[in-house]
Amino acid sequence: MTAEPAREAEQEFEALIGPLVEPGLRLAFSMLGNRSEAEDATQEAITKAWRSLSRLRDRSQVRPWFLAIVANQCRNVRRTRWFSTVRIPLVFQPGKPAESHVERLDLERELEKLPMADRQVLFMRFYLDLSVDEIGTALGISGAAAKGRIYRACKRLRPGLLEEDI
Amino acid sequence: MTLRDDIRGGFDRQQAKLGEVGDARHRLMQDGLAARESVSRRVQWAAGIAAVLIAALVIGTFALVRGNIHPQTVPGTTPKASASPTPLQNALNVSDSTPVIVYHDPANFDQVDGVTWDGKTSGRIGTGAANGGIPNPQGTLYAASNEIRDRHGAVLATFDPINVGVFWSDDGRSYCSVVRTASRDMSSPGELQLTEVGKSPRNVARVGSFKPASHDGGGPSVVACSPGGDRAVVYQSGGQGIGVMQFWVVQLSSGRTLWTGGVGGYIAASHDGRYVALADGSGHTVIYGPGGGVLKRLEGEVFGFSLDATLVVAAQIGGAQSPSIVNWSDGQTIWTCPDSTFGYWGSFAEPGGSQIAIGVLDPAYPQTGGFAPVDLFVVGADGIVSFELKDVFLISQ
Repeated sequence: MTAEPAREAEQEFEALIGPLVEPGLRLAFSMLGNRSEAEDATQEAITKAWRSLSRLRDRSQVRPWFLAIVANQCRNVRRTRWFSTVRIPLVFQPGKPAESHVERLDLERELEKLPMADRQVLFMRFYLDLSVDEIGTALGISGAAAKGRIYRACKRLRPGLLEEDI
Repeated sequence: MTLRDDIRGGFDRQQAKLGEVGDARHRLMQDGLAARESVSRRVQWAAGIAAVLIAALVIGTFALVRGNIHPQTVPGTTPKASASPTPLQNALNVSDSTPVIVYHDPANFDQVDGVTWDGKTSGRIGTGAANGGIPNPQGTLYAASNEIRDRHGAVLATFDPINVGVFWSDDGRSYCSVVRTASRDMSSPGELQLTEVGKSPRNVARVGSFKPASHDGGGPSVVACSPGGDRAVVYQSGGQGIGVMQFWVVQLSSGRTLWTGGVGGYIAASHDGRYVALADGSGHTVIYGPGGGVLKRLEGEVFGFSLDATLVVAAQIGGAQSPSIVNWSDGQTIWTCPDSTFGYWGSFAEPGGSQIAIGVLDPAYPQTGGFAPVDLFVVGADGIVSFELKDVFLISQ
């Protein structure tokens, strides 16, 4: 690739992926609980996205596609932690009692206890506001299956939860 | 304040600990692009470790086989459905009644290909599946768009895809569906129908209820349809199709409700409708017998049954349990997905046989198009994998 087309390709890539870097970093942080590791995972995801951009058939799906790469990278990071001690993510340690009432404290503790996959799906739905179909695309499952995961994750937080509460 | 608000608030407080991220976009983008041509030292180190581990694994596998310890998953052949860069050209060369596993051609999603349950014969079946399809359990017919086609692509019947959800019967000759009894902008009871391909639907029973289409309020769906077993299993989902509010086991000949149950997170039923598995949403499943009695309680969530209903496909959303096949009566696991990081996609039973095909998702290969790439293991009742399909885009009901 000569310099000019290469620069154009980079600009196109930056225009496509650039707006997704912050959501990707936030997703990684929610999954890993550590800024340094989250940045590493996001950077690695950007590299992988560049290499596999030609496989993205539908550009309208770039957001769930990129977030899926970030999430996969985070799972890889978690898998390589087998040699280290297990740590509870600092991000889910409860805040000062004065800042939050008991229910919020309980919810944060429950969020802390959730499996990473559950936190991931809740984060995508309720923080990044991804649609159910986008979450399905990001996770490689159907929209219906994504709904099921969201519901099950919510049920783990609130066992007595009714559909209408979600 | 709703749970949604609570969760959002929890994540807000968490993200506040991330600190300022304004500089991150540019820096991470530049660093990410700078690394695109190089293999990081970490990857090289990991590759070295992987080589050692693979060598150890090979040695360990030989030791296991020589020691005659449970011969779990040794694939006989490993066809690669995605190996061909161009669509399969050869027509499937087996009799029209031979059951096959159906999938999108990897080079042309509109094309439907099939492979026999022994993994030995594959070929082109038809077209029209660009937006998905629903094959019968035998793979002899498939519903796509508003048509039902045979393996030669001939259109045998049409249906209303907006109002009719096709759930194929276990014999593959008819399908069950629950339809609205009033217009889509009104609430109405559901009508369970049985339709033999090419004939008019037969109303079986009123079951469940629909909310107006604009409410996204869930509705009744079919999970088993067996004219031979004279049963169908229908459940009522909650809002957005999530969860199980109630389910009914209905006698197809009379329309009588044989028994009913609920509530749960996920439901599966045996192909003849005699057994129902209801997961509670917390990773536990109850198996109910033909009369509604509790037969077994299992860890994990059950997603499907073998044809004779002795085995179940279990997994756990959230990854706590790998996709596996379990003899539910004694709780013995006969097969577990070889990679614990893989997620569950779907499963189906071999018509007239004892194998189960179970599709799993490799997190290293996320979905990038309209369909998810699935690794499919075809597993016998003895837990032996007869063959595996890699990165296949399955079509199943």
